[in-house]
Amino acid sequence: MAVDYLYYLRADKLPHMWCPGCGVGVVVKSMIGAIDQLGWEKNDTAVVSGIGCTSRAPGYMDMNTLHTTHGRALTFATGVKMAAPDKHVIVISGDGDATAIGGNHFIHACRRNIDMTLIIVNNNIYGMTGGQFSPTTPYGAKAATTPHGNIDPSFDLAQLAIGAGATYVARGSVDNARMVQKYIRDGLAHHGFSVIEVLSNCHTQYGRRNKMSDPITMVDWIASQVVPRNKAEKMSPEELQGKIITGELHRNAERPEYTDEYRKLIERVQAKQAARAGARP
Amino acid sequence: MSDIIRKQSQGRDIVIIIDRDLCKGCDICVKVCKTGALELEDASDKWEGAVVAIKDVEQCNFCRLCEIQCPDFAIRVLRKEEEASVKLPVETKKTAAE
Repeated sequence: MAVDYLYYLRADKLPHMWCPGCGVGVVVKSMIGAIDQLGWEKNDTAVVSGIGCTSRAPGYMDMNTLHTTHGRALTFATGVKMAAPDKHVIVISGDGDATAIGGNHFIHACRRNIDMTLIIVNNNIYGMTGGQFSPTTPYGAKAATTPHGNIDPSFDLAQLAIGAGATYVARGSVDNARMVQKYIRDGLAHHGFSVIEVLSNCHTQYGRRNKMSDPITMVDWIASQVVPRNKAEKMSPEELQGKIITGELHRNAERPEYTDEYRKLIERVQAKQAARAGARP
Repeated sequence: MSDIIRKQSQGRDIVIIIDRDLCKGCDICVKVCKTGALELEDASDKWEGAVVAIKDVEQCNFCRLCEIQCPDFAIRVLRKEEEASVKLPVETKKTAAE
């Protein structure tokens, strides 16, 4: 059945502020598709974001939404989840917001394994603030603050999330929105901290400085880099040079979830205190 | 207020709906369409750019790639019976205004 996108959107706010052809719209659409597939109620779902192009997404979503400070989306979301553990919490964030400004919050949210989903739209640059290089800008790429090429090695966000302890990690790219929707759906359904990195295009800030100033060229460039995981397993390290592996990269259902642990702690302490009160004469 | 184009296939159960107010003319849908059912047209009545138009609805093979890849929620490819369950921007805007 066709997804009724506008049911989940604040239609009076459309058209949205993203540039023509921006991948964020595709990710928002995939996210709505995933929520629709899971049949989640709008009132039971909270979407939290920080600052940036991607973080404007909750403004267009007709749900419980929270637009917070730069990089702190995960901390606000942790608060929401702790206060209402039975609700679904989704964080949508850009690469700069999630891993530079909010890098510390990112690794610690992964470490806690709290039942939330983080969708990182990785467009290799700070789009909204004027095209400064971000931790995911590729080596050698030009940005507003690296006019002669970037000399910083870039982060592998998925590996970082796995290393920090996230229990579901997947990577998709905007040229294949169907797979992005699948990964987001699996991430939302996963009980624990899930990270979905989506490789996206910022032809306005990144592409313009790197000879890809229109969305088609830039999406094609992303599509030329990505290799699905099952195909990558059959490729040699030389062939994988400069490629980015997409797919479901990590899943671990063993680790305890944070709100469950917290509930157990409350029960344990309350039982202990009740026993102590009962023992008193 | 809202500018909707709706075209239905003669023989087959396919409806394409385009909201010209939401389209920004990024050309993605036209490029992903393998059968050439869509094209960009000049939209000087709206702005200096272009807006997507339906070239030939009979070419559509219902892959829905244009709908899925459209970042602007501007294009819908539907079965006829699905139309009732999907809100169009024009209706939603009207309800919001009330």
